[in-house]
Amino acid sequence: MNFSFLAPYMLYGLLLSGIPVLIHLISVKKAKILKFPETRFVRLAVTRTQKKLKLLQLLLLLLRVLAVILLALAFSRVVLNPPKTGAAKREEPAAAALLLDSSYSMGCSAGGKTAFEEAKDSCLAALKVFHEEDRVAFCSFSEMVKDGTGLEFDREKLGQKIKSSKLTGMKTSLKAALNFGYTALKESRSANKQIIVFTDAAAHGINIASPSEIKDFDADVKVIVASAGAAGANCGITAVLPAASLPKMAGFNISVKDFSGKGAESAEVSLYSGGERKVFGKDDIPAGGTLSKALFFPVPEDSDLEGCAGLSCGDCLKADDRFYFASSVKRKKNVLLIDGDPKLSQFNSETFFLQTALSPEVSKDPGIIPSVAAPAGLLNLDLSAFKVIFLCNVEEISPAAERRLDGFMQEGGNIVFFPGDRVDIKAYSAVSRNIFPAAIGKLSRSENTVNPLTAAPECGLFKRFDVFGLMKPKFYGNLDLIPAAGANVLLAFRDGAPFLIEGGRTARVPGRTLVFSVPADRDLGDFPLKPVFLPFTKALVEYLAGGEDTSAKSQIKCGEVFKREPGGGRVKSASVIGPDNKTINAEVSDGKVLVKDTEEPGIYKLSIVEAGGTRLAESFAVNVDASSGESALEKFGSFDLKAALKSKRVEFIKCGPGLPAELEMIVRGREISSLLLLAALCLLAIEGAVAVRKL
Amino acid sequence: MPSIKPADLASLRGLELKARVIVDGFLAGMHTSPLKGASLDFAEHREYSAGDDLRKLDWKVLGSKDKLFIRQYREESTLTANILLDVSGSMNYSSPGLIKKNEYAAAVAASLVYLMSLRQDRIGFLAFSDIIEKMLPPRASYGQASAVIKTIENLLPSGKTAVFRTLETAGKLFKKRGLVILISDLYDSKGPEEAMKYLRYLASKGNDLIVFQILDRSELGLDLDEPFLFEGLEDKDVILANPELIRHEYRRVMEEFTGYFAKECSKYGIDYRLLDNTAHFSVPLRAYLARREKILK
Repeated sequence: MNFSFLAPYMLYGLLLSGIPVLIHLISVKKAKILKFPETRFVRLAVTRTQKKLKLLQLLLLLLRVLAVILLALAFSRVVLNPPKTGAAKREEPAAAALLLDSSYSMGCSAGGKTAFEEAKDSCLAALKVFHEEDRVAFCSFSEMVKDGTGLEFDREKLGQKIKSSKLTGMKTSLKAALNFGYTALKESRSANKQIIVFTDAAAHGINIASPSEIKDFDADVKVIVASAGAAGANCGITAVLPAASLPKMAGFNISVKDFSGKGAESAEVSLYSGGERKVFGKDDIPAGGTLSKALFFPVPEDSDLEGCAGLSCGDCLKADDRFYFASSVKRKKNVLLIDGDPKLSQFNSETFFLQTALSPEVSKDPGIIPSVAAPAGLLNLDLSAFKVIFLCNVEEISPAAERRLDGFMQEGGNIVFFPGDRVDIKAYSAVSRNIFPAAIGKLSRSENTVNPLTAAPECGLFKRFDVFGLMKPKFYGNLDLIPAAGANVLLAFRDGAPFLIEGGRTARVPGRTLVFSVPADRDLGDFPLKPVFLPFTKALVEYLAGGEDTSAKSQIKCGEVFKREPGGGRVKSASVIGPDNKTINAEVSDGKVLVKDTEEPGIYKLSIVEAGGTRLAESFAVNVDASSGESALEKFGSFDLKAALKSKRVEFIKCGPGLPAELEMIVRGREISSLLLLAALCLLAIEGAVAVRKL
Repeated sequence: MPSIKPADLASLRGLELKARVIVDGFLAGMHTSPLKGASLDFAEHREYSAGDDLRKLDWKVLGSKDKLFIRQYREESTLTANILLDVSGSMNYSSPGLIKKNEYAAAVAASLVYLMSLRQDRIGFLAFSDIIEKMLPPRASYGQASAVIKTIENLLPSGKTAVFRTLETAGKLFKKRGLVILISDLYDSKGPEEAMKYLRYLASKGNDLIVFQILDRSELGLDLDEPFLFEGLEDKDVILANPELIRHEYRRVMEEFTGYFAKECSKYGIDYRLLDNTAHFSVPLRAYLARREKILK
């Protein structure tokens, strides 16, 4: 604590504290003489009371001196300044930046007001602490700053800004807030500057390693954290992923995490779509753990599905109890693998690596479903159920099989050839070039690698993964392939030999056919063992089967930019309807559509009009990032912020009715004249009660 | 005649007049006067017993009833009473509005002298400080009373108090046993023990003693309302004190002082009366009469 004085000249009054002593001395000299019959008894009484008398006199003297000192201090208008903040002059105009946290964790409520409402009220109250001549800036912030104003005198405008602030679905970023605060205060020359952050002090929000990361950082600026809300039990939905499909059923795996370590009993997890609850289930959420709940409900295939998963467990934060999704229930990309050289050990079979690479993981969207069959399957199976057929080391293509494959391709099906040691070159030379677009030459036995620079630039396959990853596999041989007329070499070896050939598409046969010059197993190289094999084969299927992984792309976190780049033509215009049917800006630039205003969680409906008049409609879901730490509701403390800013000028106060007084104390210090005056009067009253005439 | 209060004495001129007014007022106020029938009044008959003075035999009763009866009178003899009056410097004090201790003591002494004269007692007088200031040997005449009162009237307080010395002298001077009345503030320079020692000495010589300790009201209670430099009237000793601070302790000291005399006097059959200068004069007069009656019985 330190003091400053508004009327320091009144401190001369401290000299008056000598008056009681002086009076004491003068009064001793001026005591009247009284002729008394016998002084012996007076002396005896004085001797007996002397100890008590001296103590009393000392006490009285002390009380009087103290009373005079207190009066002098009261008249000099003492201002009590907060500890270690320096003596800012009380009368000097101040400058302040009020920063209101609008991250989703501010929606936390223990039954009454939410932390955001509490912080907003406190922010309005704080505005009144500042005098007319003070300038105040304001912004609401989460990961980004919003509604920011520069330093203003206009309280009404600032009040309106504060009142109109809304919660977002984004995370806390103190760095963004402080950047704004320090920059706003930079233009003020006041020595009394402060940044007041109204926040729930989410622990992960301190994303600052050192003050140098903050633009215009000023060590003289006080940072006051007004803490709102209290941490309570909280669980939230961290992910909603499509589950393994069932016929005509939509299934979702819903992950619910307990952030507070308290768990929840009989938590109700529901799926909503089309405005109604489709299905729900109850389960316990383990303390500090995650509950994975799979829910299914009937839905027609090839339909768009929008909705959300909901959690009801009586926790204090509702924002992370909803998780929106927008996906399409599309026919799955069934892939047929024809194994021309089946073995007893699956590991040694031709299709083992392909099947492994294309098999869906449990937690991932099973968009590709591989099935393995013998070459006879080409004749027996319903090929229309598949999007792609891989022919691995198939000895020959019989005329009957060729006819079926031709029909398959005419319906849009796609074929991939992986030749092998069983391949009958003569038999393949007889196959239609529409199906097998190359002539097979001799087996070359030289060590080789793929040259990524030979990748056909216009080919969609290479846009789906990093073609340079294909440099790593080593090949010890390959079949020499001679592309048929109309066929393209999509990728070649370093020595120029084709690695992958694509047959030309015709109007009659829209399906694609691809021929590799190497087998699908390890006979001629380590390609199947390399990490690139998995994304390459998936990209290959996506390329051939068409369509996109819509479930992944139609889901973003609040605050992220949603991008779309329709391939069909130039984008003419785009519009977005956000949650609550609010129209949201969509930027169109270089054929791309960007939706930046995604602060609120919910379903966003994007409409794109292409140059040709084609209309594309798509929905995407925007969710809070519950895994970010925002839902954990852990708070940072004064020490954390001091360490981050390497500054001691950090104060922590609580939002609420006591905030204006505390803020006044921190910003201006507190004038304690009336308190001192009261104390002086109390002392004088005590003196009166104890005192006797002066000696 | 109504009894007079100490504060009213100033309105009367002359100590003798004051004494007469005091005593007359006192006597008029008494319902059953022990003075009924004067000193030679018949009181009662008593059967004769061997050794009785035959002059007191009631011949009339013997003649009519043939029985021997002795006539008894209230006053069978005169009393020798010596008044020892303290006229030391310490007696020259009074609180504002009150009469001085010496004036009060003089009035008490004069009243007693006057009352004694009415009783035809032999009156002796001795005024003292640290020396014997004045002395009148005992006599039983109205002129003696007048002389004593005049002497008292002319005395001025001065010097130190030496009660012990006065009592020692008195012990030597008073040949005949009688009543000794000491009127003093008892501030003996050698302390109360020394004064008490000689009071015992005087009592041991067969004297009846009455001690009137005269103190001012403020001496007893230190009812002063501001700090003073207290300067002794006798020894010029000076001490600074705030009465309000020491009052409680002072009163305790004074209680110890007066209590000592009360206790010790009681132990040795000495009639001790503490009088402040507002006390009614009937107190000392009644004390005298009570003691006198006791002596003469």
